[in-house]
Amino acid sequence: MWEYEKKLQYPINIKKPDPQMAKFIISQYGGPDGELAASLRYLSQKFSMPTEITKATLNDIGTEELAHLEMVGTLVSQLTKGVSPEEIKAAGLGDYYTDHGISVYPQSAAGNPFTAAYIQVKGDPRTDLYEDMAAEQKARSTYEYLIDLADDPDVIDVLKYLRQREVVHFQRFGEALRTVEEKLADKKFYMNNMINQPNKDCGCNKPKTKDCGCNKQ
Amino acid sequence: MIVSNMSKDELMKDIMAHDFKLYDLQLYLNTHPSDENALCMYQNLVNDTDELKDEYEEKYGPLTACSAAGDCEWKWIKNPWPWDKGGN
Repeated sequence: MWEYEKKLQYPINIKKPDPQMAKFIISQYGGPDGELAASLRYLSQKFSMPTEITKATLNDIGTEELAHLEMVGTLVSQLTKGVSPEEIKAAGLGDYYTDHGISVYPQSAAGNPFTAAYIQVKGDPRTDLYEDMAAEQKARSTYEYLIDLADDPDVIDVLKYLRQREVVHFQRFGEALRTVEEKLADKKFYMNNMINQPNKDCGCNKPKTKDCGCNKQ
Repeated sequence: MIVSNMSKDELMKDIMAHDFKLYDLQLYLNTHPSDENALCMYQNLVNDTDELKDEYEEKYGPLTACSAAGDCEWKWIKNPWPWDKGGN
């Protein structure tokens, strides 16, 4: 379960509305490499993670992504606060305004609505962790492109923070992946589990009586 | 409780910084669960952060619903919310 804390993870106070920048940034809300996809991916993959380290890592990074989702929504909301329909239209947001007014809807910069097809949950820890590391890199690239497009230092400051978290998450997923690969590389010992199940009378576990005769030549 | 002279914004920023350090350490400890230095740092930070949050909630309102029902008033719903200007 989760408990809400009435604060953001990092302060956001945008003084200058910029609806065009909001149109770009919304991709990190509901776009292909956005925070909704990230949190949904990790919080769904956690159920098939095999070890303590991988369960904790998926659960807690997925949780942090929810805090980032709120931050990106806050950016979009504050960048469009008090903007007139004319300014919205001039910024290329007329289509968005038609369907959603001034609000925060999970879509990509190009207007595609959010879809779970952005993510995969494969049930194979190695496969999922490789996907997660790629996802963090894709999100880092997106934040860098957004920083290229932005000119307001208040916006850039928040984008830089979010970009940096992708780098840290990539690192942690890499460490979790290494523990899985080390485990898979361990020398394997196969045990006949019948030995530990005395109720299953296969006969092989019975103490040999000295004079059963079966050992006699 | 140590009462600081910080303004509401300064206190919130300090709480955010503490919570950030805690969460970053939490992710680190998940993959380095036996790093004693990190464990010690984490525990000290928990104590400092609790003090800061107690002070904030006493002066400016609840951070979690559990601390929102004092003085026979449901303070949880009060503006600003974190996404509002001046709410974080």
